[in-house]
Amino acid sequence: MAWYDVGPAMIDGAGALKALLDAYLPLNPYWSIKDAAAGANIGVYRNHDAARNSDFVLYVDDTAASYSYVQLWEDWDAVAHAGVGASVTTTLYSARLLTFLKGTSREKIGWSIRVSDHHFLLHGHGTNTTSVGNPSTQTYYVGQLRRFDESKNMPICICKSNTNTIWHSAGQTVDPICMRNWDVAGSTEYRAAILVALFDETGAASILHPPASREPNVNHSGSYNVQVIRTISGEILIEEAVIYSHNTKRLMGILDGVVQLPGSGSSTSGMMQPGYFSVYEVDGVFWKVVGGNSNDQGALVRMS
Amino acid sequence: MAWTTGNMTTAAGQLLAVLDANLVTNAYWDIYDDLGGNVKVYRQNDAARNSVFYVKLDDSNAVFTVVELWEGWDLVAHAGTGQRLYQGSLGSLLYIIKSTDGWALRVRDNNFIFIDTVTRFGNYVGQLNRFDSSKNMPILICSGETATPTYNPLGARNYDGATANSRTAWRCLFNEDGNIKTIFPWAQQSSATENSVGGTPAAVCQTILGEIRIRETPVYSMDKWLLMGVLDGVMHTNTTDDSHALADGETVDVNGVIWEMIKSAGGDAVGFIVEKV
Repeated sequence: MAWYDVGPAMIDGAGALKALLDAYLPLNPYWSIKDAAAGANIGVYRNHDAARNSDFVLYVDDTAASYSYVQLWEDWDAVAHAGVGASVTTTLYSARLLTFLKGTSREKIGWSIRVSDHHFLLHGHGTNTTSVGNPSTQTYYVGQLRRFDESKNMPICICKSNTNTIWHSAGQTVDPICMRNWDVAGSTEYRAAILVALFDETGAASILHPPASREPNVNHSGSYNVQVIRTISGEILIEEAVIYSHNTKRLMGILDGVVQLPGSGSSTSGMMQPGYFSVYEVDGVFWKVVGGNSNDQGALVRMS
Repeated sequence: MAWTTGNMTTAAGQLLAVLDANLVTNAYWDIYDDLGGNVKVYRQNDAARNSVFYVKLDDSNAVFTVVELWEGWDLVAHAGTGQRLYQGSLGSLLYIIKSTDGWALRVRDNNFIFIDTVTRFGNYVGQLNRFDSSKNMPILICSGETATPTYNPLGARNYDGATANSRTAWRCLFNEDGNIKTIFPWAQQSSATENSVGGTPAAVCQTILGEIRIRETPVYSMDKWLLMGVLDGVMHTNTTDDSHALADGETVDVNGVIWEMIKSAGGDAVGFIVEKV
């Protein structure tokens, strides 16, 4: 696993995300460029670790300036330049495209990418602050959970489902890594975070839910829930998010290196005790506080 | 640690009889005062572990017992001293509901859980597994109503809602600052005010391999939103749907110790998984 601070390398512009992924994913032996000739500003990447049952393809349409569309595929034909087998190309409920934002000129500072054997986490942070004084971030996750059953290939994607490129405006945007699934029909709102699996344990595509998602009996889950993580002794309780399938209501695995901190209310209430934009060392491991500004949701992401 | 079961009725004095026979078998609990008329005071006395408080039970009524926690107790005046927890944030008194038939009592050094095995209500009295055991922070999780007690206190969240007649109460005699406060289980929604009811998430606990993932539930108090500790041997699951967790009465063996789902049928039909030792 490696965490790379790549600075302002990825700015708005077609091909910017592809260039970043081209440069950093293949640094890990289990990631490769699957199809280098898929098209202008189209990236196709494979994660393949047969010994640990991780095999999937990420397709990135990076032809737009300020956002990219992504897809998960079971396999890819590099001759026909087309996906093969099962795929998740849209949200499962509202059929909206899976989207990464590249940021806006007024907010971005830089990007970081954490490349692990079976997933990567892409994190961008901005400078703009809000009424509660929080800088905005965007964080995306592609690949495997830390699976409870590693015999099953269950890649997931956490992203957005709209192209509204303002990371935060008037208090209405979030960082996808902080959120529950928000697959609402027709929604174009800033909060549209998406958690989706190419396969759950039954082999079907599924919406996913984090542990503090309330009563997700419909495709978009319910309310925010507070996750207080700081103890009265000042320690931080690291509880990586446990993810379950909407289809089966069974825990598939742990969101590797991500502690979700959803919750509504103001930061003064203390639920976001670590404070945005900070880095904490817990037992020798560094964790960065990320978050948008809507509803004070946040997360800790492991920087290794 | 002990898990005991038996039968009782709703008559006055029945809960006291259960506690008299079973609570005091633990060296850190004793009957401290008998006020007569089915009103008694039990002392939790473990100074070495900073757990000292008094539980006053008025069991003079049928159906319910009124519960209070006290900082101290004057044996001469037969009256509590110091801080007193006796109501929810909106003024409802605090109750353990009785019913005819079965009960289960789990007694540990610094807390006890009383379960009505018919209604499947659970009540928690005493310390969490504290993150700072230098602080004496007894809590009380019980009912806040007697009229229609359909909510399982330990399975639900704080329900100290818009009326004084609250369904369930999650309160502490002292938080880390020494204040009486409402407390919340981890992941309760929007606990922005002292009497907030909010919602709690479905605690899915079964993995795709069929294993049950037991996790004692962290608890925090109002004010500073800091975790005080975890419920001792209790996983609060909330959930209205058996597919998320275990069904009522299902058990799971965790390293040789049995945990059981206790889930009520009424109210929010919520539950908790309790370690039976």
